[in-house]
Amino acid sequence: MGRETVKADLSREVFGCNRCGFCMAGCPVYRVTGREWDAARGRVALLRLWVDGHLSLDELHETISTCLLCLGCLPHCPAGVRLDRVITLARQGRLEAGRRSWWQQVMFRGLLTSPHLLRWAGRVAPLMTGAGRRLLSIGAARRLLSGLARGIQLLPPRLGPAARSALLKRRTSSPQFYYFLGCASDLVFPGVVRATVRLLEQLGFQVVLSPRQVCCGLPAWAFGDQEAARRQALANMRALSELDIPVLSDCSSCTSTLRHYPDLWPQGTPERARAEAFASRVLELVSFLHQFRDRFRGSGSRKGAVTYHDPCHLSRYLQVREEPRALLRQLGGWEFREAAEADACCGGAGSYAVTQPDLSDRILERKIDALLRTGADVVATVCPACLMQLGYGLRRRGARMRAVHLVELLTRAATFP
Amino acid sequence: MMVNALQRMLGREVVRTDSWVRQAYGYDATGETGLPAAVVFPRNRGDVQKVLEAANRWGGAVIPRGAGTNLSGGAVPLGDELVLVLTSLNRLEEVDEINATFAAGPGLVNLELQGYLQELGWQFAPDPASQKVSTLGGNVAENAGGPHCLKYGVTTNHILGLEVLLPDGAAVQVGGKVAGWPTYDWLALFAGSEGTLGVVTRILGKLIPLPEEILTILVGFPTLEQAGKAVSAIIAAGVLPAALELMDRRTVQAIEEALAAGYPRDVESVLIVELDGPAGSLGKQGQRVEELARQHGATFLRVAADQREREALWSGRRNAFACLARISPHYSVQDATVPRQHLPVMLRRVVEIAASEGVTVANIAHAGDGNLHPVILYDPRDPESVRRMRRANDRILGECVRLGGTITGEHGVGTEKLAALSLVAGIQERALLHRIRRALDPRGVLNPGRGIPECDSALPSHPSRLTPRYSPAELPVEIPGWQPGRCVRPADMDSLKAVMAGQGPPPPLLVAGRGSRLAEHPWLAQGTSVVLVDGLDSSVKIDGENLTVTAGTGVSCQQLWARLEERGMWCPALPGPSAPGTLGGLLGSGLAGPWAFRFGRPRDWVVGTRAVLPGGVEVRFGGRCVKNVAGYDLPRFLVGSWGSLAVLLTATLRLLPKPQAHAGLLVHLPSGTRMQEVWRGLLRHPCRPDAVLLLEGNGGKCACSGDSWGPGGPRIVMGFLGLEEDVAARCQRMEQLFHRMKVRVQRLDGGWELGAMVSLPDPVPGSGCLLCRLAVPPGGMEAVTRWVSERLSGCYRLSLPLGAAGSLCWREEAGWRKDQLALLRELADLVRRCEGWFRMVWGPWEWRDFLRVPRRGPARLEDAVRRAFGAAGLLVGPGDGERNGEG
Repeated sequence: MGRETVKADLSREVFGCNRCGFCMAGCPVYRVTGREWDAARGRVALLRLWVDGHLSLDELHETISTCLLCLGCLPHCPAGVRLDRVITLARQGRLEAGRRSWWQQVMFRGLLTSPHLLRWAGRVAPLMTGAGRRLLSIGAARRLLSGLARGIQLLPPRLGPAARSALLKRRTSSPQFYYFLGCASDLVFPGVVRATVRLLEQLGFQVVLSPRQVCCGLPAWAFGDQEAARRQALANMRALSELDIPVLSDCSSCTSTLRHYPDLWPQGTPERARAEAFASRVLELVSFLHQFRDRFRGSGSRKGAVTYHDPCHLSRYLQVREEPRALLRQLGGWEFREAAEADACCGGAGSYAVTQPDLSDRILERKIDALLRTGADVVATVCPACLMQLGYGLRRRGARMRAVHLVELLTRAATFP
Repeated sequence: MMVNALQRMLGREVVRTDSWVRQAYGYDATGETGLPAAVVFPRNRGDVQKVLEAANRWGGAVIPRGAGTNLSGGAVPLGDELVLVLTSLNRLEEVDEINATFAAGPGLVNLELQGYLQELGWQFAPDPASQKVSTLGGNVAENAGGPHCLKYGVTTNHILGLEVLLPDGAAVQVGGKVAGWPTYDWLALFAGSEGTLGVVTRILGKLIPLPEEILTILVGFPTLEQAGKAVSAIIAAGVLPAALELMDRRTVQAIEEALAAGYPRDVESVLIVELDGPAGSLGKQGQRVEELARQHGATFLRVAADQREREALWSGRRNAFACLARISPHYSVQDATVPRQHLPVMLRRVVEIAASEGVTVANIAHAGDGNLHPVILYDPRDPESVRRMRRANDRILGECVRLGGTITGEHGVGTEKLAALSLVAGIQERALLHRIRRALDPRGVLNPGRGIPECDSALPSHPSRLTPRYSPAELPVEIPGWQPGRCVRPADMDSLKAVMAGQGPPPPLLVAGRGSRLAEHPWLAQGTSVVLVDGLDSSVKIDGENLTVTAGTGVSCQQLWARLEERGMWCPALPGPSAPGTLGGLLGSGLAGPWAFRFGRPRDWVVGTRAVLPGGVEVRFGGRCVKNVAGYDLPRFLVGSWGSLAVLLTATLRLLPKPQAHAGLLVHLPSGTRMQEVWRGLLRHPCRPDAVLLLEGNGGKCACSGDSWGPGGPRIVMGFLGLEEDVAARCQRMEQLFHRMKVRVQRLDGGWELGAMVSLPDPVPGSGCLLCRLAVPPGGMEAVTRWVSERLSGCYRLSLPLGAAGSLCWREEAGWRKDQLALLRELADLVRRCEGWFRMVWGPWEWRDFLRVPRRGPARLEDAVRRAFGAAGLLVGPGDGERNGEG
């Protein structure tokens, strides 16, 4: 795809913007900076100027890279402008102009596209992190490698062994679901993976992990590397089509990405048709568990208060808002408290916390303030990226509140005949 | 050069000049674009100050900007201005629950403020449709309205104080935690000035309690006209809904397709009628609304059963533009306003105009205010479509002015309506507006080219060379110690104009009506000539359907009251049935009646004026619309100016249907009562009274009138008025509140007499009494009453109403001594420490100036505005007494 096609696509996407500015109401970045170019209206206005040839994408580097892709603006937008498409198109435009960094190449075209490398990463990650932490205890190194420092701070204090190998070793005779293993769940929250698998089994469902499954493609997609995202999508569709069974994941971002695979190809292409068939097999975990809500009433003894943080990919990309709350409300022993701006992005947004540490911190501060105001003991969510970010924010504040995956609460409350 | 200097001073992160950054600040919510020279992100007030100083020094121009949701092009650069982005000055500095005020930076988003306040049970009334993004600074600059301003009023009715950086960077504080400061009404001038007079850096706003119960009724009509007529009928019936919103079929269909909010699809128009009030008081009002709607042909009627349904209805209304945007993403929102009874005609005209121009239009209106927002859908890529949209807009405005309306009710003039302003303001009016602007901003630093059109700044003077005809007159009152100069009464309008052109008695002139408030005049100086203008215009024209009255300022307040009563109406600006003096005197002094706590002061009820300026030119400002933001808000600004800027000839006041019922409560506060607790409970109570007065006296009698100054000990008088069931319910709830505090409550007889009780007659000058005016915020009342009861001897009465100025009457049998002056000074200091103001109105003549209101911040504002009006040297005004070297 050439740069002109990108421009044409972008100009179609932004045509609807009427400059009312209401998008600012939903933009977590604008909320902390108050700068026009951080809200959808500003980004759209500037990219229009690029399309018309008045500005270059290099000049617009900042406005292109500071978007969280959280879609907080969409519910406020009268014309329904899809800022996620606008921004990924712009990022794609930048890549096509040759602005590609080496680490993106390594990540998107190498590591995340290879099941073997991913398995290897699972083995070395805990060691690397340990080494990293020791390295960063030296002040000078911390200053030099601020991105790395931030990345390591995000991780929970102790990393267990990754989930992939153990999951692959399991033998299942007739699985009813593919378990889609997200990279962050695998490396950072293997406990969540184990809990989810166990819960599904207790409900009577066998799951299987495909050995050839790779990254869902969201990182590449978000950085505008549509080509890499397509490759990963094709690999996954191949890997998860050996059996004609539904796909489930504990990661909302992965689920949303799998569901949106058709958007990677234009209308009428055979790949799109395949992606559509595939997407219809992708189930969303929380809505799926919601069908069995009677099993999760738990015991009555008081355990504390719980609040909920909406992952962007679950609430806005997949429109699932009520189900997790319904599950939490009926959870025995837990009192549910709604937080202010519960559906606002936490600033984690995949690698955003590493690429834009300052902004990410300020967005996170606001989030943590809102969560702490509820006085809850636990914040539940359904996305490992949110879990890392919230966990980091709470640790940094020394708060008593803990961030957990919704499934972890459900597992503890589950009763089975 | 200026930009470079600023960058050196403030840093490159604060002053951005990158092309892309400038482009991002080249537009607002209208279609136009421009390019500023730089964008400045001040971190605090000091930065703003430096930017203004630099702009003055190097001759730059500055556009202050909040969220950029302006709908009249006010934030679009014309070229080479600095855009001053105030979004980071967004701190909520204080929520003062005892005084029911908050203080915040201009960058705070309206809805975010509402969020904080709601948790505490409060709200800030202005709720413009853009409230989820628009900032308080923007709300003040545009004098924003919103759906609920029908009942609660617009922004200018809800701000108490501002910190403003004038165009040269000097900071002034205007207003404060109490109302009615003895200076010009700066809040009226700055609110709605579209950033042309100063940069607001701190806003002190009024808090009101959240309503206890809300009733939302959805009504459908087979025609737009029927809906329009039902609106007038509902308001005429004495029901004052919190909101009355109208939408036409096209809008409803768009909403239903997008949201399925539950509107009927088979009607031509729908009305959302929202009532709010104390629990249990809305049922009857709701029935009344339903009856009226049916009488006017409603074919659909539904009451929202619960919070969810209400939310759904409102989400339809709030997202109306959004839903229309799905038909065509580009639309232009017009902001025409007409007197309420012309709404049906105007709605029809809009449809006709749209049809003849071949554009698609949808009608959405704040129907209760007569404020229409016709939405014209167009395609920006098609020049013909843009042309037709513009033409239709122009014709709509023309039509609206023909019907007695105005060109903008709440969106402002900006750049878009600069030319259209001449539809409602003649050359003299524009010249005056421009002179006021230049007086405060001589270098044209702030928002050049928008808000107020450039206009030849010379005010033409009265052409007549006739010698004025006037007869010598007796001064109707005698003020001990004051020796006026000549006193004349012009025979007709031309003579008044000639007098104002300097062809009468020697200046400075003091303008008065019947002189009943003359003793209170703040700038009495020896030997001043007095012009009595009570005989010029005493006409009264009541517009019952629009609920306004246009009256000559020579009409007596009593007469006006009686005329309104005949028609079943009243005006809260009038103090009561037996108030003394003329309407002119009332407006000139701006003194509030007893019901100010709920209904505000006279300035809150004036929507239009006709006046003669120094030089003898006649001007008109405002009109009959209840919402109007075309040009500065001079009708309000002139109220309380004591004739020091212009002579008011007529005024148009808003009216209310006469209340059905009155009730009153009297509370004797036992000694040891924590007054703070009383205010805390009372002010945030959803059933709070409409008039509140704290009285403290020591049981003496006034020498002149023989009136009892009441028994000793502090007590609170509370007044209620409105619909019967509402008054009864609130009265009862207030009794319960005081019973819980273990305080005895006594019912007072209803009727306006209660009003008279609340506004106790002041003693007359020369009676040996001393009269001071003072305003104390509730939080300071305990300290002030305690001080008064402990320190004053003789006989005294202190009355402190909420929402207006109070008074202290004091009589000492033994005569006045110097040490009593020291006492007064001590009291004045105490009041100032409590964030109130204090002024001696009369007493021993030689004490007058010791207690004169200190002319601090606003002094140079006063002088500048007086120069703009051409009043300096001709009319008696602030500072004159001092220049005469008295005291």
